[in-house]
Amino acid sequence: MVLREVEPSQNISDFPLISANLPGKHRIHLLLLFELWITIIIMFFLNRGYYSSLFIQKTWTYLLLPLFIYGLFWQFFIISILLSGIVYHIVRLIEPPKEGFFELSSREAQFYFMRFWICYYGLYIARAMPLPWADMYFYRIFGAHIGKNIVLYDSWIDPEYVDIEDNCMISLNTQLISHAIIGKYLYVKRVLVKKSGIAGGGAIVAPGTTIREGAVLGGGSTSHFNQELAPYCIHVGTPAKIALPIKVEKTSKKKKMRKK
Amino acid sequence: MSSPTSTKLTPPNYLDPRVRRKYIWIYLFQVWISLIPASFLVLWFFYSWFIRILPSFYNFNDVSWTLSNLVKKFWDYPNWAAGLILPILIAIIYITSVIWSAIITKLIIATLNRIHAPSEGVFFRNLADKDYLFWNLRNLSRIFLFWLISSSPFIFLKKTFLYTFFGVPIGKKSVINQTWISPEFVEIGENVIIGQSAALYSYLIQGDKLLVAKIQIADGVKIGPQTVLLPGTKVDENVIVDGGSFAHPFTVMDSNSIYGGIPCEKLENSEKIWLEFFK
Repeated sequence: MVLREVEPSQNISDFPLISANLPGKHRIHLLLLFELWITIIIMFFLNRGYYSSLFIQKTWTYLLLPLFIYGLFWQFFIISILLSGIVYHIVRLIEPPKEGFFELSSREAQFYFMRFWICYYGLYIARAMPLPWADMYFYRIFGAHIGKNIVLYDSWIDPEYVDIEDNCMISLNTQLISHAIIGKYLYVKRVLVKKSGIAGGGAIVAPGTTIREGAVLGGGSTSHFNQELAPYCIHVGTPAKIALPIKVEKTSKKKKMRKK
Repeated sequence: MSSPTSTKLTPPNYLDPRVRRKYIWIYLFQVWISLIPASFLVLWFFYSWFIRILPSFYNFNDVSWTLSNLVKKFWDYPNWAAGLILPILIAIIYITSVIWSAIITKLIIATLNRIHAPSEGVFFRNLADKDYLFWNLRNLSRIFLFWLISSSPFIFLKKTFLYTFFGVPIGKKSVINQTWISPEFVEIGENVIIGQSAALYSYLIQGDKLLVAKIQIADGVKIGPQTVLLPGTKVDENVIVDGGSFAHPFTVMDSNSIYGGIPCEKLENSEKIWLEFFK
């Protein structure tokens, strides 16, 4: 059987969702070690003046020590994220990302996982930063379209093929996945979250789903492949179905009060 | 911090607060012993590189902070290889501390198993129950190693140093990178793929009782993201479990079929779809 021939017409919504990031044949951990190596070298040469100033034993240098350690954290975070972004874009030039079905042993799939692990290193560090909203800005380095005024909380979002528009909320422990393993194939499809869409806590958004304007995916529920969630409706269950429409007041109450 | 749950890689590890208060000295002793070689390496590094070489870079009396002077001093830096070796030394310190603490925890667990062998079953949550006490002590001794490995972004260490070194069989080519798996009473075959933030618990706590039973996963099983498997589940060969599903304890899954839903059941037409697409 060949899934590639029946791809557009095939209704794959019945298929179970399996998503995992395989290590692949590339030796990625060596690349990550190389990234770490370069970041620490850059940090060493940036702060060389301060290290040596400690040996003069002047009191003002010791007073700056706590601020210096905090600054070291920030240096490490920002340099390693930018470096992984640069490495990601170099690898992206070699093999640009594509949507569709790929065999797990094929070049496209192998490079997909390689690109994923390069992003993972940067995003892991971005997520460990002392600012909880900083991760949104670092997703943009890896080419994800992420709008203004959104919340990501503790959710996992794939770095590639994810579009999130303004005023969205993606809650705790939500998995927003744009890739899945179907048999011996890797399936990659864009996930769209339109304006003011909400994915509830612990929900799974499968590849190819579009959350329309104001649609809500309930907590703990999963959407199946290529599903479209209707605008201004709450969807619940595995797979998700329409449970309740939401009443929308187009003009806010404050404006009405003013008119009166 | 907003780190997603699939990056929090510490396996599920329950610890009774009574045991924690009483036997905290085991943990502290273990941390002390397992950081000794790393601290010797740090000392050696500090004395050999920082004390002797760094002060000789400058004549500190005429340090001028102009840009041209700094650039000049950067190129006149006599032994800038020290900066190149620094990251490698940090990596060596980290890996030695991981290996040494793994050896120490294995020794502690071996001595605990000598005193009282681990066993499956239902136990009372009393410290008088020896099985419950030693189950907690084994969990206590693993905490430091788990923290050490899961706090770095290099998650490839996890499979070797948390599972195969402690005798938990995880087969070749199986991917468990972004999952929670209990470190005891788990068998995983070859070519197994487990999705992000799925959880395999080999224990269950209800009321005043603790259930410990083995999870067996055969070759070629694929488990979706955020599924929860509870103790006593047996998954046969080539089973596919849908994402977000939840299995009751002691469920048995037949080979070559697809399971899903809450609670986890065999899906309709699953054998037909399996034969068509997943063979």
